[in-house]
Amino acid sequence: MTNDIISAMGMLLEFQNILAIFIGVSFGVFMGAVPGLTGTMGIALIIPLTYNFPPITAFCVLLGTYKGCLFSGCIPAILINTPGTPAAAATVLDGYPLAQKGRGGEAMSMALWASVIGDVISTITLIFGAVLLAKMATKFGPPEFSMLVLFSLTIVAGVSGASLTKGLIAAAVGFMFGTVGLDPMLASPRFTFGAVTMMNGISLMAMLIGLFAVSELLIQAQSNVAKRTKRVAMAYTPTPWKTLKEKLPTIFRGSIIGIVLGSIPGLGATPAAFLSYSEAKRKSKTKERFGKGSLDGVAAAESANNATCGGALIPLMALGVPGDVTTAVLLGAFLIHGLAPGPALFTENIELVYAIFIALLIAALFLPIVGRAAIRLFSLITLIPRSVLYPIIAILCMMGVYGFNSSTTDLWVMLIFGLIGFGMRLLEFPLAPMMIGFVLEPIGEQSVRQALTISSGNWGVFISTPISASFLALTVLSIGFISFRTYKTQQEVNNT
Amino acid sequence: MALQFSKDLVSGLVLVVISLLLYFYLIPGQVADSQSGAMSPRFFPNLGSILIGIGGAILTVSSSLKVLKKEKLKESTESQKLIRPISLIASMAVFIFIFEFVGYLFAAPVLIGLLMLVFGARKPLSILITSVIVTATIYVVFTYGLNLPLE
Repeated sequence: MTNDIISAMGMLLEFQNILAIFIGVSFGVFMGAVPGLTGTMGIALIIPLTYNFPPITAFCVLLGTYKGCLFSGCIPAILINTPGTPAAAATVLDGYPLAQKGRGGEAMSMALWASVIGDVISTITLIFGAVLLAKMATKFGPPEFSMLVLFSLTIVAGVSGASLTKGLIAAAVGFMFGTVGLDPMLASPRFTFGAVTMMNGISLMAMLIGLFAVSELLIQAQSNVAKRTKRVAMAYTPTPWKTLKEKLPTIFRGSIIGIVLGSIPGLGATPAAFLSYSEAKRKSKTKERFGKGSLDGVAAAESANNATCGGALIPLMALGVPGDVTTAVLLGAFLIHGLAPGPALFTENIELVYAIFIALLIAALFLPIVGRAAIRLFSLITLIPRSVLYPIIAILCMMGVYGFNSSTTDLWVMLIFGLIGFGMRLLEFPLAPMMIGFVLEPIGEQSVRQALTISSGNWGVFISTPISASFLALTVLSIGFISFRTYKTQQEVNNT
Repeated sequence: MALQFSKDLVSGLVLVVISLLLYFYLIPGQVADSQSGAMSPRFFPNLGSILIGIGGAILTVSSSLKVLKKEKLKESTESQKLIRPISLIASMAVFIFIFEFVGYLFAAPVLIGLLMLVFGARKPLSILITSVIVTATIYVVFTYGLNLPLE
């Protein structure tokens, strides 16, 4: 292993490769920071440009883009309440309230360092424990996935805000939207109303931008009449070592969650960020600060979000199984460069594998440099008058959604979800549970139905293995704990 | 004294109605049932509609109890506050229509101009210049920088 790592370093440490990582990170930061543009889109756009590069140089650009984008989604999330990437939706919960209190610079700095630490931990884990984690991920069959999704749904409680009932309703509505499109087992259409464009289901991108960005524009338009919202004063504020030290347990926990959830195909950064946020809230002594501007919330979400990068590459590289949309695009990039991800890659191209791992580590080290510059640059958008800024955001969102699939149907879907999100916010329903329900429904449904098909309809399959039984037990415990906590909180409210 | 319903009571009732509509009308009409003996494609949509219905019912009951206890009800949204959001969504809808027929270069300045008006800009020259510059910049970035044709 040591010899392989030394050879990989020899292959990687050339000027062109280091430059390629820097360009990739910078491009990724740009793509993630502009609402409507995504890392997936960025990687897809840059693949043709890397076609003539040596594989290692190409992957330096591509993986740099991946990492840059994972971090920078937090910039618009904190600045303008609009997550640049789906995973940054969890950062919105505390990042934006902090910005509104004039502590946006602190939130940005915390997000940056949590991202860097999460990233470094996940990459080191990847280098030294890839085989172990890959083995763990391969043990997950449909019953285990089903129970894992069920357990993941309990994170809804952590992001429901003041009303658990409203959070659960929002998750159920998201769950319903997740059923739109072709049924995953029998391919029969559901809620497509005869439209071919609805066969693939509702576009996650259109839904995300509609729910979070368009609804925010609508809220801003509304508040423009009643009262002008406070302009956010923003400058990069370095995080003192003491503060960072206090948040390290949260960051380490978030990193572990990110690595584990990232390594399980189908979950990815968004559930990891929300689960880490929920866990941080559960462990915190100041739970009441979450959702109102807690640095712990930002640190938890961002560390987990960035740590998924290392984890997500394990099933992709070891098994050829993409964990999410972005790694699916990366799988295409591997094939374009004549490499087939899977066990053979580890035996035939182990030097390239380790070179890629080291490139990821270098990309993580570039993040503080590029990230700080990006924060300063993108913070300037708060100086632009609202009458100019919001029309620009609107057109960027629309063109970003259109550019993803070149589909005007997606634009209509985005608009509809914008209205739904606006209505939900007016009626004080949380948005995040709806997205969690939407993201987890297809994974959960497919796993449940596959498990029942394998077991010939025997529901006992879900407690047939220690892993699935453990997840079920955790779910029951979690629900019990949440119910008890809700009851106690209600009692305290009644007493006061 | 005018009877004032809480937002939660109204939304709870609406959710129950949506749930019933889904369960008895939309799901039977829009989702095929399975004849193979395997789990029906309707199982999860039905589960979703039941969960929405239960949630709506809980919200209705809990907010009704608050009404009975004469707790302070939340103010309903004043209709005049919705004029600008409606204008915004209408502008975006107009943009999608125009975009489909005449393309980005003609549709985008219209949207930007309309939205600037919605967000309070009043100087015609400023609106004109901003619309043109933003349209052109986004066109160049998407078409030449990102190789994403906007037509």
